[in-house]
Amino acid sequence: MSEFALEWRSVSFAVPHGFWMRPKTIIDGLDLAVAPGSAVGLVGPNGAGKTTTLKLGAGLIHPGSGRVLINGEPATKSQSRRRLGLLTETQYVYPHLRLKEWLTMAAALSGWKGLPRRKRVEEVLERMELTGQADQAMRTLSKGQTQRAGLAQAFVHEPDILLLDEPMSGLDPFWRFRIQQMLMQYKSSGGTLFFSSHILSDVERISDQVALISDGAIRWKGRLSDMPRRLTGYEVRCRAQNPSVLKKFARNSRVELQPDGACVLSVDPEQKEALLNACAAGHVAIESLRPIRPQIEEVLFEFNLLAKEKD
Amino acid sequence: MLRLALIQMRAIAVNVWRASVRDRILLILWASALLCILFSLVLGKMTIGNEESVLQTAGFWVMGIWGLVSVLYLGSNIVRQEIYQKTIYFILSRPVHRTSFLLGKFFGMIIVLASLFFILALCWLLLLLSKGVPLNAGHLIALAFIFGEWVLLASFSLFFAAFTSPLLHNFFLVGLSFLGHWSRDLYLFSENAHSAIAKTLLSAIYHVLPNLDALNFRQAALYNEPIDAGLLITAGAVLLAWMLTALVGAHLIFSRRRLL
Repeated sequence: MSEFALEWRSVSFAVPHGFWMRPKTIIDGLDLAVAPGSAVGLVGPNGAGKTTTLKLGAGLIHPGSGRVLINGEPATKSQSRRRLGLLTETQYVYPHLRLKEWLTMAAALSGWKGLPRRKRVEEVLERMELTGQADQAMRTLSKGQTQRAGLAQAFVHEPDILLLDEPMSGLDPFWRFRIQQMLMQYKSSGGTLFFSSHILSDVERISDQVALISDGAIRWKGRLSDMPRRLTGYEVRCRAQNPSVLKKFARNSRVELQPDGACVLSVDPEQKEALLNACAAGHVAIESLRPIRPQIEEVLFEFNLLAKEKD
Repeated sequence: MLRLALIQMRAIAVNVWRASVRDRILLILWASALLCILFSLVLGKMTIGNEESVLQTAGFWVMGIWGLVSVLYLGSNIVRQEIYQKTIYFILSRPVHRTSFLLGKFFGMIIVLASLFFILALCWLLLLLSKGVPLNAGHLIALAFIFGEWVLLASFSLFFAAFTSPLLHNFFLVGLSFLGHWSRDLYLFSENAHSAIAKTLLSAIYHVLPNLDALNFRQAALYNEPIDAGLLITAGAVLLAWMLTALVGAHLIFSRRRLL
């Protein structure tokens, strides 16, 4: 048994491009490993190589160099995909099939047959609240229903590893929450999750670790909580008999007077001490002091820029 | 392993079947074949004292041509559409070997073709019986080998579909079908050709293409002639050998094909 459920070892991948079919690099020496039972979110800008990384992980495409392994076996080997579930960004459906037929086909392709297959298909349909659409042609499903159908096919054969490309795409807030719950439940039951998303709040909630991909390479990997988010200042809510006193602490001397008489101001980290002293002296009554850190998106963007500069 | 492959091939074959029976164009194609068989009644009436022969010849002809047309229609997009619509990702993200995918497609085509053949053959035989045409064992043998030819064309269709566009697939398959039926003539031409180049070329075509005329027992059925067992064995061997060659070729090409 391998140490990792999924592994990309120095993987490169290029596609022929243009009239002369020159190779265009999509993935460039990508190294990544996902431990069994963990959840890793893959984030990055458009065209960074997220979908290609997932396709390589599912063995759909062969790497130009390097190796992609599922439980230590090459991903391109059909048997290694036996316990793998994949949700592609767009659901590639057969327009002539009904939803139930499509899911039955998905289960059969993973080796399920007879009564257990029928029961399992009904189970996932019920879980995704698609029982009413079971006999509906797939081309007539709405975007959200198609996305849920896609998740149903990824779950139908009870996989140990799930690869999801933008799992929340096209879902309403209710279903986004439901799917988040399902994925967290899946993870807590020992499943391995590797997914890409543009929605960082989803990534933060579901994943143990985040991998930042840009230009086909992993730029940073770790826990979001470990992400070095430097302190840029404090947001202070306070009261003062003379609000003009606060101007010397406030960034750009800007103090906002609230309707209830309280003042809100941003304070640079080096001004914190002076403000607390003013508070101790009784000139200012501080109601709250909240540290200001950059948004995760900003940090990821900075990482990306730094990594590019290093290259 | 084999059990898993069988379940997968069945699922893929059933999908081909479902796609076909829900395809209006294919249903129209089938209906037109039946109409053509019925039209042979009109042709039969136009001849003097030769109605039985016309009914039989027209029936054999319709089954021969409609088999080719059905294989062309089914096969031209059988792989291409999966790649174009990216539904192949749905299949290959599961533990499906590319060979199982191809064989599933092949068996799906065979199920569709067998259904069409059964309907056409049954209608034709009932028509012959209703017109008092005496049926003999030759009819059944001729029918069996017409279906054999359909299967052979389906295997070549899969071979071409594994690497070409639908247009080239159709061009190659029609060429193979017609030249395959003229195989014996090509051989005779090559024997009598004066130019060494023409001799070599015609002989090469004869050896490269399957001899589809070896599967033709229509005349024997028409004139109730006895069929030599050796000929039947040769026909069976030609059928099996070429079918396997085409399928192995399709596997070798498709297993190396880049799908993105």
